[in-house]
Amino acid sequence: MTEPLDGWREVRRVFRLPLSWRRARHEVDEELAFHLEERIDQFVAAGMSRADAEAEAARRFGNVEGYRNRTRAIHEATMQTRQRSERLRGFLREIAHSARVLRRTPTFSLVATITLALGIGAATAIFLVLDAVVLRPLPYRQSEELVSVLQPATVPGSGDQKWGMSAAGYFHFRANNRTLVDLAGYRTGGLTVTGEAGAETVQMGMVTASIFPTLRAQPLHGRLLLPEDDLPGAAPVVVLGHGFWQRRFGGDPGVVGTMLATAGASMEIVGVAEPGLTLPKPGPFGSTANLAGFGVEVWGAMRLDPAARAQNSHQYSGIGRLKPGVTPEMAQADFEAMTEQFPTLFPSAYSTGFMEQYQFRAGVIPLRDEVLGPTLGPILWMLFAAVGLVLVIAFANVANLFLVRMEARRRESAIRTALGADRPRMLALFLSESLLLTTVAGAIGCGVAWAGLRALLVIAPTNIPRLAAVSMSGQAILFAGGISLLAGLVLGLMPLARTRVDVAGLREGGRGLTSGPGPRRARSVLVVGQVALALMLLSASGLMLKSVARLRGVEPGLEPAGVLTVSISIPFSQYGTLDAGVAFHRQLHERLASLPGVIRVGASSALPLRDFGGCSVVFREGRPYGPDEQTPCVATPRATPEFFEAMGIAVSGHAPTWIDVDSRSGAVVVTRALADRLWPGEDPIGKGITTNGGPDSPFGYYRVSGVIPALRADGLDRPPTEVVFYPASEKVADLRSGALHDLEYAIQTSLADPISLVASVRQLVAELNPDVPVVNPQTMQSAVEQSMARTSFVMTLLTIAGAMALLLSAVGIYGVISYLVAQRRGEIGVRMALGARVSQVARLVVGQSLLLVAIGVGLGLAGAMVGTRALQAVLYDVSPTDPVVLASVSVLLLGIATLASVGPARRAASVEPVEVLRAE
Amino acid sequence: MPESSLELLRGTLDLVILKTLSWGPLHGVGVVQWIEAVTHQQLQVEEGALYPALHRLERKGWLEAEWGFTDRGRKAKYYQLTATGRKQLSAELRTWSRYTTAIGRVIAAEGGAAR
Repeated sequence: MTEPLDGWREVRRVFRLPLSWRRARHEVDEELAFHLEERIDQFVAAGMSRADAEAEAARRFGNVEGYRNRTRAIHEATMQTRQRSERLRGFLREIAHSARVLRRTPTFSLVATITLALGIGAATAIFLVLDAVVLRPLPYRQSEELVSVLQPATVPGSGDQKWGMSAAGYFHFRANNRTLVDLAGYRTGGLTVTGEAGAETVQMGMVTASIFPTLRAQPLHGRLLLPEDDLPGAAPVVVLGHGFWQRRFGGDPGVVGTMLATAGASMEIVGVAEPGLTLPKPGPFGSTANLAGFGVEVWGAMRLDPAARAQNSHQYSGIGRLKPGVTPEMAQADFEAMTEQFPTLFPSAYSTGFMEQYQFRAGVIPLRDEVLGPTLGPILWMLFAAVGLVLVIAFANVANLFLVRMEARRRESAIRTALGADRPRMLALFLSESLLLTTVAGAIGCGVAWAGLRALLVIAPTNIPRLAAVSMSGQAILFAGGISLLAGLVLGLMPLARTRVDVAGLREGGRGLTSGPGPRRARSVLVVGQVALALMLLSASGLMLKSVARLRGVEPGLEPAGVLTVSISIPFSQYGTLDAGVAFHRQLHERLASLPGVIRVGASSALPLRDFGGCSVVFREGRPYGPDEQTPCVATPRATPEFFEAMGIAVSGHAPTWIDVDSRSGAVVVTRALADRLWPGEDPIGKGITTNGGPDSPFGYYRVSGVIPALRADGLDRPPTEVVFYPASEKVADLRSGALHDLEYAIQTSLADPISLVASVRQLVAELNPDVPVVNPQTMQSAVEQSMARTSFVMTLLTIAGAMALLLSAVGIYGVISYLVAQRRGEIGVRMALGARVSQVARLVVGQSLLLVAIGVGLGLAGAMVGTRALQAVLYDVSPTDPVVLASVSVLLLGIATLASVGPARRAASVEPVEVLRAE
Repeated sequence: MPESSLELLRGTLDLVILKTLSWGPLHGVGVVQWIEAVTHQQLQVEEGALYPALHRLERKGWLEAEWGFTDRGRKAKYYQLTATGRKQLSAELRTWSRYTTAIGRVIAAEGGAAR
């Protein structure tokens, strides 16, 4: 007897919904009518005629309509207040009741809450990362219109590279494109600021003046850079970044118009940029170690010369703003067409051969995609999916617990139903219980997310852009709250399917109360699903574990232990020639080597596994490249003597010494990878090689004196690097090219914590020259770790997710098998009475468990085959369908299933046939 | 109606109602009759004015109302004092007695004393 109308009334009663206003009005009418009738009766009784009595009553009462309206207004207000407070009281009563019910089964409530809280917390934490890194737009006005403009090339020997624009290309593009509102170029670097506050290296953005209108940036004080500041020969002026202005100048607007002292020339400060204005990422060939935006501290104009001879040098990252209605694809086509004209427009810099050999092309993509990179978005979505799966598994367990509890309360529900509580009433009861539980779980989940996020930020690789912007926010609470609500609704509505037939629970009487096939099947489905999802997660984490193990097995070709690295830049103004620079560095080398704890000191213009980039074409002596041969374009850093020893890089043959530097012997060291390309099958020692200007250059050829067997300078997951290390001195004296102003020092120490040496290094450098800053102290060990960071990060998260999934599945299997055993107690008792042995009974139970798990494993394997493809980008030397990994996790799950069913099996085996039969 | 019947002073209706109900629950007509009985019909009040006042006092939480039946089986709304209503009554009684004392002194004062 559950008509929809009755049901509605019941729900309304339960939730104390307001009664209609007509009822309230009616009450006042009744009250006044009573008054008049009573009075009339009294007057009639006192002897008046009926008509007189009515008149007298009306006269005494006064204006009936007026009083009626006034009374009604007050009464309605009263009813409203009362209903509101009653509704609140009813709600609190409902919650208190639910809390009492939940407290009666503390184990159930605790396990369900914690399980859900962990799942919600993990999902919320990853959601926050995903939101901040992938979903939130870039911090520019109308940032969706911004595109990145680069010139990708496939460099022989190095693979795909993203070059920037050349100066000539920039002017050509800016003048002739038909798809952009504006185009800007920039590169990034350091600037040594001097003055009373001490010398420091700050991050500098060298930009075309068009960057500000392109980004739609505003000044906070003064002005930004104007086109006239950007002309060749214009006086150098700078705009301060907001953070730097706050830090160095205490936010004083008076600095506008004053001069900024630097290691080079002083430059006028013309303005301060608005807070938060920065470049989206470092310029091309800039360090990729920190992609968390490039915090520009000083903005300067590049002052490119449009009339200069075109050069094949691609230094400038491009940012453009699309015209309204133009898609990135249209801009891509536009820029491709313009790039194809390069050999015609700039024949001296771009030959048709070069265009073909390097597959030199244009690349216009949304700026957001460029900042994020091609793999990060998918990786984060995949991690989100992984924690989503954990949440689903956790939810399945909780749903299972609710099902069990529902069975246990079947009698209660049946009695309540029989006593007249109809379905809506029961529904309200169940809903308020489940919602209370999931709300508490959601709140705890927010705490879990907060803690998880902090841990996540510690282990996350630093080259995830905008990771620093991740924090607990209203969104987190919204997200966790949404999941809690959804979970609560589903759990609360689950019994709805059952209450319909619940009267059967009573009819069956006190005996048995065995459930029908419905819930048993539901529970088996839950277990199969859980196992399938857990297998997918475990496969993913297994693949990542194997990748990391493979990566750890890779020989970087250097010995990072105990090595401290610092960047030391000497000012051009004080060290005009290469030799002057070498003299300073040599002195510093000697002083540093005498510090206690220091074993060896060396330096190079680029550090392996740090920002080892760049690409210069190298030529070999006596053998020009054939038409089929690819011209190698490789890194060409300079290294001081003992750099290889300090870094623990093995060199066979002769590594240059200070004697080589003094005598300008021109001895260079190449890696085996480069030697094999240039002189396959030959001994490279003594061979001639050069970079600058090719075979006709005044430098002549350098001689290979040593070979590095293997060095992975670009990353552990990359092939051995092709590189030539040039000496600290040029073969010809007083040539200013290739100055040695910025050097990365490698200081090999015997210290457990090499960073502890930094203070003495700073002191020593300051004694030598107070204008020279020491920046970026790091250990080489951290560079090696960083090189694996992305893989380790994904591995760590997936392993945690996998472990959670495994644990939750084990609990789920245990719960269901226990339940099934309890269900079959009678049957087992009969079997044993008929002579079945204990081992047979145990086998029956374990077999049932294994059957469920096997189905789950089968489904999970199918899912893993498809799902793990998403991992491809972060896997190293492991196939996404690695049979060893898939087999191992399948066996692991089957083993866990067996273990989880041991307890229930033992319980089944201990069934006393006599007792069971008596109970039946 | 006697010529000399008194108009009820503004603001004193609340006091009268509270005092009336201090003897026990009554419906609106009961309140009117009680006032008539104690004042020998000297206090004249428009009976309709009673209802906005009763509801206002109920809204303030000084009275509570309940539907019941009269001796003759008629459905009527009965009002009764709440605990806060009782407190309010004693407070208003104190104010009233201070007020009447003061007014009484003014009236009883000898003419010319202030001159």
